[in-house]
Amino acid sequence: MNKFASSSLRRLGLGFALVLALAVLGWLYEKTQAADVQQRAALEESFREIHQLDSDWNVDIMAAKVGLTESYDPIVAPLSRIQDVISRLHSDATLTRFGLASQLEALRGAFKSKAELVDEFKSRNSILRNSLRYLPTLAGEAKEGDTSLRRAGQPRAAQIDAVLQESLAYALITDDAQQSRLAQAAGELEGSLSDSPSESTDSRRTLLGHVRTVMTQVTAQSGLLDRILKVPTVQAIDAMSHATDARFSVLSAESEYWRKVLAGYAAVLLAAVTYTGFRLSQSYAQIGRMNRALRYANDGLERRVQERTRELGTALQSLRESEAQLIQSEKMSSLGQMVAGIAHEMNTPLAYVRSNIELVHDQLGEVSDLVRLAGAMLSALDAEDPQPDQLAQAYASLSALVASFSEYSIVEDLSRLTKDGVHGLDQIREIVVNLRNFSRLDRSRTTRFDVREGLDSALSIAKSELKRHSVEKRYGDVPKVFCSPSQLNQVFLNVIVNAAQALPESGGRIRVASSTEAEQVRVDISDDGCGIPPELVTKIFDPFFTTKEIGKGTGLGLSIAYKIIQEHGGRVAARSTVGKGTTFSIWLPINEGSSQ
Amino acid sequence: MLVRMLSQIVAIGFSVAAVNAPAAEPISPLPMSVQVDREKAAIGKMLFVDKRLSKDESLACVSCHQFDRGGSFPAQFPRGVGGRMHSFNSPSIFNAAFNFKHLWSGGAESVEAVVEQVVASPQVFASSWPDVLQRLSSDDRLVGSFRKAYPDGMNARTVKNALAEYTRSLVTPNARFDRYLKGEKSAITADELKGYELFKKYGCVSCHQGINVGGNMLQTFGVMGNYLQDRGGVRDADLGRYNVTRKESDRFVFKVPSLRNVALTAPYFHDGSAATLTQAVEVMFKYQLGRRASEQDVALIIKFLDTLTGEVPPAP
Repeated sequence: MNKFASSSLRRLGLGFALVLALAVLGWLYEKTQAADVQQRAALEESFREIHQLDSDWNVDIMAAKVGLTESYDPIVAPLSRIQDVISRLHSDATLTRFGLASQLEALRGAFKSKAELVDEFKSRNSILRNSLRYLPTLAGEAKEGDTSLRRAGQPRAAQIDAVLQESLAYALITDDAQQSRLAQAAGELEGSLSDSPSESTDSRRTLLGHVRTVMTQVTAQSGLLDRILKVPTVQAIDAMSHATDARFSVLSAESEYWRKVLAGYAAVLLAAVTYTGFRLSQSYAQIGRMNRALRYANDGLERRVQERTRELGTALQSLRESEAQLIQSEKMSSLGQMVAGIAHEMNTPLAYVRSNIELVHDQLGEVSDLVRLAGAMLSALDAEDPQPDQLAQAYASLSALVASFSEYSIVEDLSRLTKDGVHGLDQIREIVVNLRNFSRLDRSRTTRFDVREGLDSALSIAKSELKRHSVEKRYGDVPKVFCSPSQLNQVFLNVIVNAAQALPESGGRIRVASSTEAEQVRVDISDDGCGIPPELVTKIFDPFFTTKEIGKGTGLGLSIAYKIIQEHGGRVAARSTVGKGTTFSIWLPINEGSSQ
Repeated sequence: MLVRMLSQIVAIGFSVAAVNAPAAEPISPLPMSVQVDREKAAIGKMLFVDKRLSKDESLACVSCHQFDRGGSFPAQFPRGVGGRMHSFNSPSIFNAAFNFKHLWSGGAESVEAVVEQVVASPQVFASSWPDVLQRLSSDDRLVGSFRKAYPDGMNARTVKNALAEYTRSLVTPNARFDRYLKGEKSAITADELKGYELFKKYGCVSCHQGINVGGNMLQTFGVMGNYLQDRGGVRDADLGRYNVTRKESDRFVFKVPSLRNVALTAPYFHDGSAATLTQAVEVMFKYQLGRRASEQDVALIIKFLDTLTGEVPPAP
């Protein structure tokens, strides 16, 4: 006993040491994983994406500047996309861990100021482009519409052309020299305004207004584009990228260090394992001894196991028998429930067969009279010395009787009574046949059986229960199944009787259907009765569960039905809605070779 | 590093190739619908007509953004809580998803930010989040919907988000002009097409372009003349974006409004000073473009503007 305890203690200690060794191994491994390659790749991908969006943005701004695109949507969209990526970076804990939150804010700020400059660019660009577009038209109007122009002659037209030319040139070549040339041309045209009558200068004034617009907008815009391109967005991205690179290389160096430690530790562990192996081989002899002891103990154990197995086998056998008994007794119990009904079923035909036979018996008196009178007539005719009186009397009696026979149609009556009697007897025979079919004590499952026959037989046995209800049969063509017919009949009867009992006294409807469904025969038995509450539906197949009064049901019917169907390799399910009714569905496999 | 440079060069090559394709129209059609979170948008829809957002429960969003008026208000200025006059004309909320900023002065970067301002504004709901949330929290159904749609249930953030999500769903697709852009040449008449050509020729399109025919840039109101001085009585609200940035260059700068459904959204401008579309177009010619257009051309441009009216979403 003491030895046993100490060895289990040692085993515990060994297990603990092993767990500890593995934990250290895992911890060291974790340390080597500090530089997460995936994380690094994700961050770099984000930086690259911002970089890409930023350079696309620049291209689109230039395209808008030179008038390749007239819609500003392309230079509005990038900002929100860049902001999305920055928000994504913001929610990534890695950057915060690296202490790069402030750099991220700088990046956000850079894009914010870039966006503001782009907004200014859009406003200025629109104004500039409109004035540039309008200038040639305006110049034309100024030359044509100005009435004083004809007096002044060519010089004024040249002034207008010069202003137009210098304006367009300044929009293309924005430098100080061009600016001063434009300023000069504009100044000259303005000077011409003072020596013209005011009503003739309108178009020139408008022209000058637009020229000044071009001047201010071009000047402002050239600086603006410079500033847009110089917003340090790229630098901010690169700075972040470098900083994360640096952090990751530090982490990689750390990982490298821990990798070495891990290798060393692994070597030590290996040595320990080798040593243990050596010790193990040393103690092999001891183990051999222990083994023998164990084998001895084992033999004893095996014997005990065999005994137990035998006991269990016996128990199982008796359990199986009692289960078979239970099924049989439930069948008898449900039959017992049916007996009253069946007796009634048989009583009705019996009663009228009996009364018919009694009537026939009554009529037989008349028939024997007929036979007697006919005999008397024949003997009167056959006499050697016929007596006319006797003959006439016999004739009169016989013809009176024959007349009454035809008057009361006695022969037809007799024929009808016997025919009805035979019909009644047929009915009784049918019940008996069904009862016998039903209770056939076949335990093997070797019979091919048409479930529709079973359903019919169960319906006819349950006839007394179904009197007030209408039964609708919807039989689809189904192949025969290998089964134990009496057991299936028992199931059908049980479900049908349950269905009938769920229906109101005033009458209801039961529907019995058969169909083929994916290698299975399906039987549905539905009623439109009171239904089963959802919390009970799951229990109805439990043994001893019943909603009937004590003594009226065993609570075994459906559980046995369940068991029977299960043993047939099928399944049974109930679907119910309270107030609407219940449908029991039974699926039975169509075994190979069973189809016809 | 080399790879990054190369990829950039290739990308620029592609972008340039795309730009060199035949010049596209400056206006592009609206999509048939915008992807939003239906559950959240459904809550936003309820909130849109919920008067509990306003201090005295007299107003809801829909009071000033009427669906049969192109999502705007049919008077110069709407009135907020206590009949207090607002200083801006109601901008349309339709197609707001495609505006680059919101409000007349572009002072809200998102629809959520608009809701934030509107709830507190003394000219609108004159309320506060604690009050609004307290009034709403008595509504078990609403609170339940929030709990289903948002892990953190109902709070200022989620109320704003639900309203924004709903607003983003309000697009007016299938305008006749959009159908024309998609290739259905008979969707607009010859006059309307002529109006569109004039719209481009006169330069209206320099600002009113893109998917929303505006709504993607800022511009000074009065480029070629001081409209607000000529109108008289310059108010604080007329300073526009200056009120947001306090930058001198932003004085009188406003967001260029979208022209979608413009035929439905009279009166016009941030001050509602143009009662009709003709007046508005004339002001634009004089003060923004610095040129004159014949009456006939103005009429044709207005005919074109009519084709920008799309299918109005069902009222909440």
